[in-house]
Amino acid sequence: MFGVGRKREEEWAAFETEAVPLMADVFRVANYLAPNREEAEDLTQETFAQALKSFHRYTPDTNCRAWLVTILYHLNSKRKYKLGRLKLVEDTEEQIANTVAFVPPIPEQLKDEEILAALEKLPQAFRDVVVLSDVEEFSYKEVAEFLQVPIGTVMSRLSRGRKLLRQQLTDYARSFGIAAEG
Amino acid sequence: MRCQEFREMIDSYLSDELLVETNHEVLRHLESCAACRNELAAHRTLRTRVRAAVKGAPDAQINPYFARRLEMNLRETALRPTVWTKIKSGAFLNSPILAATTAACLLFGVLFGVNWLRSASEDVVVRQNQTNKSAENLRPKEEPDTAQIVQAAWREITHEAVGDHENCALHFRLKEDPITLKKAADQYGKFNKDLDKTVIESLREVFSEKTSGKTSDKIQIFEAHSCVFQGKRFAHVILLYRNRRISVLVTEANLPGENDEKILSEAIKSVFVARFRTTRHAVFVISDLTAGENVIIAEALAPAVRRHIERSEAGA
Repeated sequence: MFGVGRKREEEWAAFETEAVPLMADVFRVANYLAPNREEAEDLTQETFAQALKSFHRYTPDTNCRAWLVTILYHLNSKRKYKLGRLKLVEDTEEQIANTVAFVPPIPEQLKDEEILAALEKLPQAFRDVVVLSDVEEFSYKEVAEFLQVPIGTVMSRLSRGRKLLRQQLTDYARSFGIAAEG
Repeated sequence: MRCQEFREMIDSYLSDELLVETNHEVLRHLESCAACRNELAAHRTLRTRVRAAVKGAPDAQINPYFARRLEMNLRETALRPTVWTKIKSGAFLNSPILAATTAACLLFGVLFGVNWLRSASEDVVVRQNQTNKSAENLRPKEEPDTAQIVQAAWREITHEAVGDHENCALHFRLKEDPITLKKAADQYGKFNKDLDKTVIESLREVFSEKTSGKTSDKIQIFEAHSCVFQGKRFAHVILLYRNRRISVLVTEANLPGENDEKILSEAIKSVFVARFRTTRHAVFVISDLTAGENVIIAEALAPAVRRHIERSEAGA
């Protein structure tokens, strides 16, 4: 009888050490995916509840953050499907990015708010990859698993997303008379 | 390696996704090519700036109260022994009949207990109401010259409200854990119930037209609960607007003087406070927005919050 209790305590201790400290990171990704804070908190809660249930499937000392975000993306797709929000990425978005030519470096005077606004303007498919790869520092393989796309697609979207973002920031800076560095 | 080849793999190099051998080739090329070094620096700057902007945005920070609540719930779920684990562990002596009987007894016990607790708590509420009413009767009538008394009462309670805003909404360092508004409605006054909904609905009407489409310009609830600062309990709705936290605080207050429609504004420390009253409550809007913006928010929510409090008083 006590053995079962101890086992549960050990499981919780492992979960508390590996998964719980990553709550803020998971929330940040959820907040990026969800339309508002309330849904981001719901999504974070569901992710951790699901992770706790399936924690026996997690291999200790591997990348727990990537494991949690995989669950998060899976739950988010289910939610979107239920709400009928699921949209397929269209090729036209990639065609737009293909037209981006040489881009000068971004000016240092730009504020964080302006960078966030430019990021919000990126087509969803590119923004997803830029956020997951450049901000959250997941590997190409991990990003490909979250988004259920081939690694090659991750690479091309990242490259085009970065270019497009740089283009937008440079245009923005130019419109306010801020010169690019270098 | 030629420049064109490097430009093709710059993203993979930056993401540390190249093979070791290719990485060496890139490094060798960079040593001799200033143009590619500049291009790489531009890529790196963009990545650093985007990372800092997203990670540092106040909107992207987890609410510490939500995190603490979620952790507590997870711990409870993880450590709560289920009926199944009890059966598996032999707690029911491996007998299904005994298990079923025990479960039935437990269910009966729980139902009986809940019923008893409910009737007991109703008794307490009735007793409390009676005590409150008799206390009201004993309260001395208003003095004719109340201006100074009113001012002193407001000063004290405003000070506590500002303290609660700073220690709860901004720094999350209250001594006592906040409780939900629902729980507070049962224990400390019906006005707590759904106060967050009343606040956000009244503000959405005003702010919906003004939003520029930027996420930070939308007014939204960051947290809603009931908390205590220096012994004073507040219903606390924390709003997020333009990456700033705004506190809407409601507390019971037996303020002397007339209940009027005025909204008063003042600066205390580094924040602006807009306040108004109802017969038995004081309401505060506290933020570091401009005094004008702070008052606009107070004006927008005042009618709805007054109605909310009046209705809850009537229904109490």
